[in-house]
Amino acid sequence: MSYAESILVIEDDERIREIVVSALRDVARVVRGVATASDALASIRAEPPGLVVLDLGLPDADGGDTCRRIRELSGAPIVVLSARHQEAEKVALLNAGADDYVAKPFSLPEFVARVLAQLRRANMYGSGRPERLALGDLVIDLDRRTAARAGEPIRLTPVEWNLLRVLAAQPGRTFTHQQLFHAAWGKTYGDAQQHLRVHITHLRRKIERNPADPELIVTEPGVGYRCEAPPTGGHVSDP
Amino acid sequence: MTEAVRQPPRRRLALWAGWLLAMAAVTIVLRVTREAADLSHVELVYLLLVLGASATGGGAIGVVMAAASVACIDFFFQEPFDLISVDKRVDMLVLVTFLLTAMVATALLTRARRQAAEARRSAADARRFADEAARAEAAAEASRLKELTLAAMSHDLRTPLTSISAHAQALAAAGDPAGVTIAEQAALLSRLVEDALGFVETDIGTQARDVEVNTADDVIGALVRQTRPLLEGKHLVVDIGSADQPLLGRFDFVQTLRILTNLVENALRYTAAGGSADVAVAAVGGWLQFTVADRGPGIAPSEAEAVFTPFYRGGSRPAGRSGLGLAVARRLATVQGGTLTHASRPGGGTVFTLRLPPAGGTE
Repeated sequence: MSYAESILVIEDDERIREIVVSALRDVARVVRGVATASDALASIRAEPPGLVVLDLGLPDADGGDTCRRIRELSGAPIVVLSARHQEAEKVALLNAGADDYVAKPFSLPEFVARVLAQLRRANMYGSGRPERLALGDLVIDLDRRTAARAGEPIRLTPVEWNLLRVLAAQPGRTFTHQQLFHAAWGKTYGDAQQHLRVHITHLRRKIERNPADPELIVTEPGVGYRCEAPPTGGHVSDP
Repeated sequence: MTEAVRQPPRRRLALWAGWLLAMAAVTIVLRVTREAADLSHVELVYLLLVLGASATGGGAIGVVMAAASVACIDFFFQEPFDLISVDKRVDMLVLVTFLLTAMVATALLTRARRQAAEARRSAADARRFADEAARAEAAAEASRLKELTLAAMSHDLRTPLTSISAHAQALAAAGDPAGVTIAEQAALLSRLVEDALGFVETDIGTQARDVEVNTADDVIGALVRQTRPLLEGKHLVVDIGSADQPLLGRFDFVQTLRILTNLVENALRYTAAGGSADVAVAAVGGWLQFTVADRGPGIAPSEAEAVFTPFYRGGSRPAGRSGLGLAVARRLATVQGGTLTHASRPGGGTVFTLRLPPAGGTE
C-alpha cells in the first residue's frame, strides 16, 4: 500500500541514502534518491514529488538555502535529516519551510512514522479544509470552535483554542515557538511570547489523558511543539 | 598649565633653571656688546629665548621669560642704561610689540603642544582599543573554531552510526538476531557519543543559553518521552504535584532536560527489572526542585563528590558507560545558577536533587 506517488530523498552519504530509500519503498510508489542539491532541484522541477527527505550535510549547498529553494518550487512536506543537533539550526530550518526534523542517528521505525504523519497531513489537505478534527478520542469542531473528549465538552480559553486549532490542523508538523506564537496571537506582544509554554501546559492539562506523559501535543526540546496523534476515522491507516 | 603639571617635577625644575640660566648668559653677552648692538637685534635674541622656553616648557615659563625679557631690555638696553625708570626715553612701541609677540607666540605654542599631546593620547587610545578588539576577536575566533570542530566531530561520529543502526534495524526487522545485537550496541554507542559531545559542549559554553519561563510539566513530559527507550522493562514513576497551577521556573529547557535525562538514565542503571525510578517536582522556597530517586546500592560517603567528576568509575558500576553523565549534569546545573546534590534515600538507594533558581523577573 502506498501513501504517495513519489518521494525524493536528498542524501549525499550513499549507504544512508540506500537504507532510507528502501525503508520508504512501502510508503510511496516511486522513491528517488539524489546526492546533491542541484540534482534535487532539477528532479523537483522535472517531476514534483509528494514529499522530500532532505539531509543537511550536502556538499554543494547550505541546508537552509536548499530548504528555501525547494519550498519555492514545491509545497510538498519536507522532512529534514541532520547529524548536527543544534536547536538554533532546527528552528532556522523549520522557519525556512521544513515541516519536521529527524536527528541522526535515527530509529528507522520512528523516521518512517514521521514521514507517514506528513503524508497523512498532505492527503488531509488534498480533500479541502475539514470541519472536524479527531485526535484519538478528542474531537475538535473547527466551525463551532469547540473541543470534546469522549463526548465531554472541554472549556478552553481563546489562546488555548487557537493553539489547539493550529497544532491539530497540521499533525506531524513541528511548529517553532515563534510560528506558534504568530499563529495563536497574530502579532508579537513582547513578553507574552514567554508564556506560550505556560498556555501549552494549561492546554495539556485539559486535553491530555496524562499531562506528565503527553501524547497529543509533543515537545520538541528547544524548538517548539508538534501535534502527534493520528486522526482517527480518516481514509489512511498505518500499515 | 596642564602641560607643566603633566611633566615630572624634576624635569620641570631643570627646564626652568636651564632657560633662566640661558637668559642670564645671553644678557651678560649682550650687555658686554651693547654699544655695538642695535635694540631690535637685542629684542630678537630675547624673543628667540621666549619662544624656545614656551616650546619646551609650556606657557608658564614662556610668560615668566617674556616678563623677564622686558625687564632686562628696559634695564640694560634702553638709555639711560642700567636703570629702571619710568622716565627713560623708552621706545614704548618696541616694548609693547615685544611683549605682545612673545605672549601670542607663547599661547600658540602652548596650544600646539596641547594638541600634539592630545593627538598622541588618542593615538595611544586607538592602539589600545585596536589591541583589545584584536584580543576579543581572537577569543571569539578560538571559540568559533572549537564550535566548528565540535560540529564536524559530531557529524563525523553520527553519520556512520546512522548507517550502522539503520542497517542493523533493517536486519533485526527481518528476524536476524545479529541485527538485534548490533542495533542495541549501536544505540549504546550513540548514547556514549552524545555524552562525550555534551561534555565537550558544556566545556565550551559556560553559560545558560536560553533561560526562559518554562513549566515543570513541560520538561517532565519531554523527559518521560525521551527516557522511554531506556526503560527495558523498568518503570519511571512521575509526580508533577497536585496543584491546580503548573509549577513555573526560569531555566534553560534543553539543558534542564539533559540534566534530568542523565539522572534518570543513572537511576535506571541501578534499578532491577520490574522496579522503578521515581521523579518528582516541587516548589521549595521559590526554587524549583526536581528529585530523581532509585533503589540502588547507594553512594558511599567516600564517593560523594567523586561521582560528579568526569570519567569517575566507582567499584560497583556496570561497564559500558562513559562516566560523563553526572559530570555533565552537575556542570549544566551550576551554569544555570542551580545546584545538583545527592543524599541517601530512606529505605535504601539514592536521591539526586536538582534545584533551579526562582522564576522572578517577568512573572
